[in-house]
Amino acid sequence: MKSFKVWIAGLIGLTVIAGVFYFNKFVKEYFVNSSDILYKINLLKEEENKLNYHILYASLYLYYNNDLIATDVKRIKSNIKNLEFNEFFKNHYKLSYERFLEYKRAFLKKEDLVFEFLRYNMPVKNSFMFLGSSIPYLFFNTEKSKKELLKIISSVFLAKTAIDDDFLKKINLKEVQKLLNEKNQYNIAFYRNLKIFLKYFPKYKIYLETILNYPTERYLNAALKSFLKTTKIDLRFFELLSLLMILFILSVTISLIVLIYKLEEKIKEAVFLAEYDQLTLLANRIKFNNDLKKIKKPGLIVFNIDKFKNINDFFGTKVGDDVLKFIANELVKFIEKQMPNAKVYRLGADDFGILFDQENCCKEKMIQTAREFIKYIESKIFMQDNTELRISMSAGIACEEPLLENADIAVKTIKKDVKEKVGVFEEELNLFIKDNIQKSNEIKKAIEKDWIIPYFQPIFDKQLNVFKYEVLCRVKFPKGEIRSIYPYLGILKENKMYHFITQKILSHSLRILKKYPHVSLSINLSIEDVINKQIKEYIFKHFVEYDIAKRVTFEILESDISDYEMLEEFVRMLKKYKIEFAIDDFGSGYSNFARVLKLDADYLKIDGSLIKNIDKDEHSKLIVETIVDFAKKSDMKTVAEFVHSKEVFEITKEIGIDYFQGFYLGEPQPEEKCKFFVKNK
Amino acid sequence: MKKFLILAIFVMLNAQPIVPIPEHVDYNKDKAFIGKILFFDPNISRDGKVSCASCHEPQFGGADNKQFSIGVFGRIDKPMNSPPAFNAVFNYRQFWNGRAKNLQEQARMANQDHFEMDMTDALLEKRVNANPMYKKLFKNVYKSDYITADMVYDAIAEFEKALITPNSRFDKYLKGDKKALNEEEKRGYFLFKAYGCVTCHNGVNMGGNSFQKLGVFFEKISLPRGRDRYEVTKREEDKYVYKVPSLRNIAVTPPYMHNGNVKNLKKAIVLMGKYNLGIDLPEKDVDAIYAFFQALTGEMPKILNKER
Repeated sequence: MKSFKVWIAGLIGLTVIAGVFYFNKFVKEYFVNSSDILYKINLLKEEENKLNYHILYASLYLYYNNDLIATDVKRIKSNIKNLEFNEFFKNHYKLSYERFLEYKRAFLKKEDLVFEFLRYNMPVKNSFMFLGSSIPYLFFNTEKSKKELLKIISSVFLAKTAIDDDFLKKINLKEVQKLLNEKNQYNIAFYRNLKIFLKYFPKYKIYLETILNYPTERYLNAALKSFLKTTKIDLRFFELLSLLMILFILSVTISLIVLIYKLEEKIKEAVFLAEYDQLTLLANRIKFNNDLKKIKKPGLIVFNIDKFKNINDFFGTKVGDDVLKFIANELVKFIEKQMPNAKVYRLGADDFGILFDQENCCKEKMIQTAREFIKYIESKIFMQDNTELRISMSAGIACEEPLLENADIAVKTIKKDVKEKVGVFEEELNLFIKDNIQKSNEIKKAIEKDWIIPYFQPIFDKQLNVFKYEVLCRVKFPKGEIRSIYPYLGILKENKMYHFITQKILSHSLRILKKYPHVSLSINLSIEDVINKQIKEYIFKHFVEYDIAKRVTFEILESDISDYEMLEEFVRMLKKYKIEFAIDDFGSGYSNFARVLKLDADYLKIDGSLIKNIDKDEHSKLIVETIVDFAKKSDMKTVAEFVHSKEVFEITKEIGIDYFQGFYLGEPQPEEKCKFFVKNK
Repeated sequence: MKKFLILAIFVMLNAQPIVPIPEHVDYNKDKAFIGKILFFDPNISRDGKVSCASCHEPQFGGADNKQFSIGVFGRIDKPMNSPPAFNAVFNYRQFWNGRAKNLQEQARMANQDHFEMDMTDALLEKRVNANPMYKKLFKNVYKSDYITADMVYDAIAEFEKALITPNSRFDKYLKGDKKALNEEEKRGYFLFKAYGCVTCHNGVNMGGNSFQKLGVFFEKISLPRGRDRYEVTKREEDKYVYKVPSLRNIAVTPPYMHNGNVKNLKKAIVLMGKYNLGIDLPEKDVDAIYAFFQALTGEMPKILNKER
């Protein structure tokens, strides 16, 4: 349908062009042809006059060149022939052409008459000349006869000059003969010539008058008149046609203008739909990307509504939408006042952006503006129906490309801070993010490729016998590089991948336990693992066998524990199978003795930070002593971590700690290097 | 006004009754070359013995020296004397009675005349198309594989256009060389005008531009009429009316008159005085006019000398 319309429009356009072209060509040809005809008719009139003039000339002058007349006739006839075979003249000017043909026939008769006339002109001229020149040679009988003859000669002269034969009527040839003495040779010639003159002059006169009054010119004028009449009608027709064409082109042009106007409206609408957010009526991300290209040195502030998801969840999307609208309006108003050159965008669900040119605004001003706006918004209470809301916001500022990503990072970074609401993107932030991304990729791959391996660090009793091994996690990269899992822990937890690691460690541990029946293992579990259904199932399936369970201790990080009740349940269940529990890093934070008691743990692993400097720091020693005292009273064994020197070992032993772990006593090692596994066999 | 002045000057310049033959006329040289071959080719007559040149011989000023020309199979068109082909291009009409409007028509009529060549268009075309040389020549010039009769007449006419005889002593005199004529000849020219000969014998060709009656001064003439104007118009008054013959090369184109019955030029002058001026010319005036006539012989047409 669309292409059909385009074809129709193209066809109309081509028709108009062809029409104008054809009309132009036709009119041009018409005028060339008609002016040619007009010129030739006028030329014929001119040549007719010339011919008449030459005829008159031939009759009056003694000396005359007949070639002139012959040439005139030939030229006229060639012109006639030219017009006669002019198809345009014949077909288009029918009436004029008929007149012209009448002219042609008349002219052919005139041609005959002209040469007839020349035949009479010759004797008249010659005899007239002779009569005039013979006077001195004539012989007269009497004076009277001389007078009579002179009278006759004067009559001849008058007749010839006036071209009027009335003067000749009185002349009687017989009387003239009597007057002349025939013996004289000139007298005889005189008589003969007079006779010829009298014979030829009347016809000469008639021919001359007929020719000069011949209606050829009338026919030519009639042809011309008719021609002009037709031309006049044609011109009126052309005028009308031009008018029609102008009207047509005008109407086409007007409809084009209307169509273009409509199209522009639609394009505007489409552009608005594409580039503007329909809820807040702010420009959207597409528009943002377009505008961004136009600014040489752009800067961006991204505002994010804190916990917007909660608003939607608690109050419904309707309220959420109203909040967005409210913020959009306030932001536009605020920015108009503060930074008239900047523009407001809705960049994401609850992200608003302010784009501006850094030439107009320095970073300090940006920070200030962002803070002021957040302060302003947070001071307001959003009211909707019966809902009252306080909205808090954060902002990120970026001055370097890629703006949007950088500002986002700044926002995310600042969200971790409670006091600061406005973050500025710095390059280090970016590095941190990059590092995170790299780590995330590394660990994902490691899990996938099964590069996760267990390391084992021995735990000793006072007599330095290996009591059990703590299972530690390492990542083994293809080139042989072994890395600790600690740098990845944050990412693993954030990406909810931690349980994959635990799973691996558990399965390795299970394998070791089965392979070396005398070896006991201490395995780390996080709260997430305890909550994780898969891990839980795995433990309850494989670790509850008596032979395994009695050799297993699960270490749980003291600071990690949030949901004690859940953990208590877990511990109680497993303890039935003789599995033991240790509280890891005890004493690092605000240790809650009561809760620990409730857990009914078997071991307390005293935090390395307390052991590390125990030989120098009295304060640490005091705390450790307290913990050991508490443990003994609560029937729990204690383990010292981080025993890195002989001094530390001695002191901890002295204090009364039961077990020891640390580089001084034994480093973590892979399975194949654990000699105790084999020795004790 | 200016235009009128120019016209007046033009008329005055042209007022002289006789005009010199131009030294050049425009014609198509390639066509004329073919025309020249055709002109001398007897094969374009029915019996294959008569060419154009048979009756229009270059050495006799483009006419022949016979009273009556001899056509195919010895036929004679009595009593007509052949008019010269030289300078025929300047004539208003062709033939004694002007039945041909132009040279092409003259060529056709002469070719098809029972007494002259007695051909038809079809026969002519058959003859020339059988000739490989003509075929090649016509193909080059007329761009046609078939030679039509009209092409033949056209080529001959084109050749005849070139048959002009300029630079006679009289023409040199007209062009300003006052010494080109001697005193007797100059007197002859004056008498030629004064007696009124020039009334009919004027223009480039000193004739050929009007029809006049032979023997205006006679009620009856006993001469044979031959093919006169009456044959064309069938009007009683056109009997004994002929195209005024050209006086160019008159000295070399005897015999004279339409029937060629006057062999002596002086006698022809005397007769014309009698017939058409009504005068018995004195002998010394006849001698002067005769002398003047000797100055009317021009140069041979250049095209006859050239190979092509």
